[in-house]
Amino acid sequence: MDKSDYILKYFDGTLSKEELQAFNTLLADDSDFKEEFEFQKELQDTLVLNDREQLKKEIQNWDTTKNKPRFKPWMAAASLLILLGISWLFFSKTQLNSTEDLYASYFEPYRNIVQPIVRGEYKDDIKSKAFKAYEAKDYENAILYFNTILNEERNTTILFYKANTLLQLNKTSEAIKILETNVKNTDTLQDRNLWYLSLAYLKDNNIDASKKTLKQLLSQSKFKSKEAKTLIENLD
Amino acid sequence: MIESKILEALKNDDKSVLKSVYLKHKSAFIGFAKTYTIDNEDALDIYQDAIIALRENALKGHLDNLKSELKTYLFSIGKYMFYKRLKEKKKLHLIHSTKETNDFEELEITDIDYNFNTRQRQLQTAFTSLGMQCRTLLNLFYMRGFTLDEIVEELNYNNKDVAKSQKSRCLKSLKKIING
Repeated sequence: MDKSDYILKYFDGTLSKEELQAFNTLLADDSDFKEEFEFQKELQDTLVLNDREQLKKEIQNWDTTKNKPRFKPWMAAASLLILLGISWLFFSKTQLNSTEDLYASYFEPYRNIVQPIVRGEYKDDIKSKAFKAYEAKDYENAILYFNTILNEERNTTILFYKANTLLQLNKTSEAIKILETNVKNTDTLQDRNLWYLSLAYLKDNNIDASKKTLKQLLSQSKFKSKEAKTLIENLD
Repeated sequence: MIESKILEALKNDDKSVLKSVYLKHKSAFIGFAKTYTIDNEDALDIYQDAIIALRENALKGHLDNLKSELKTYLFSIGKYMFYKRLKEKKKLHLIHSTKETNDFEELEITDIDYNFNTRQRQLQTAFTSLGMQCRTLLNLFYMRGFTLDEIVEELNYNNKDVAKSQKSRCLKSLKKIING
């Protein structure tokens, strides 16, 4: 058995009595083995804590959504609308340029995390080609490949990359449509979808929607939280 | 929803069911905390931790053969946490605590704390900057305790070897982020 298999079986909880003995000997005698095991053990503790921390935040939101019925939300909404309307009159001209600038300074196509793990089948070959094109910034071809994949199966991850590609090709409203559906339908890449949706709104000069989406992102995830906060400030 | 279905959903990490459990027993729990002289703010905090402990135990399979009602179980966790909190605040008399702690033996409660050490914070930051696939895989393996076979099924890998090498690739990227 490979050394790393002992660690694997330890976490699987499937070490036999003899294997456990061998495992302990390795721990005592092999410092590299010990270091690797301790790294993974620390990672396990971290992930438990990380998950707990996330859940605690989530639970605190369950409370706030339930406990605020008394003040009249429509009044706040109405005054906000009026304020926004007034400021819009003042600022819309100047912001036409600056949202474009802001978008440009924050947008960078999401890096490919899909392709490295696919291999083998025909369908995956198309995927490889799609992501090869995507990484090479050959967005026209990437779109074609993504569409081919999507014709065969609805896949929110591929849709997410398609939206990124559309943004690159300045097809903003198409991208927004995809991201809006993605945000509603899946939680797998939710935070990524929200971030790019907020940038797409920005590109579309829809500042309110952009801010709202950024706030939603902040409430759900740490992904890009620093950027999201500064961006909100810039938009205010 | 009948209790066995709830327990099954909790074991599968169904957050919407967890939320409904949370909302269902919240006010009763806070009332229960009052009888232990715990104020509302502390009670809510403890209740949230009790819900987290409930979930973690469900994921570990500790609730598979639960004999009592879910509510009773949740409240016993709470009771354990009340004593702990009171002890921290030095409000608890010694006799009281030793007599009562025997009740908790079968509960298998992990103390719910949020104390990362420096190294763990560093690992957390590195972890959040990993790609989604890696985060999912590592969470399933280390946090949820999935075996590689279960991961193959959950994430649609071709076979165990693919999952295994993907996992070591993820660990490698994690180390790379940390060590630069």
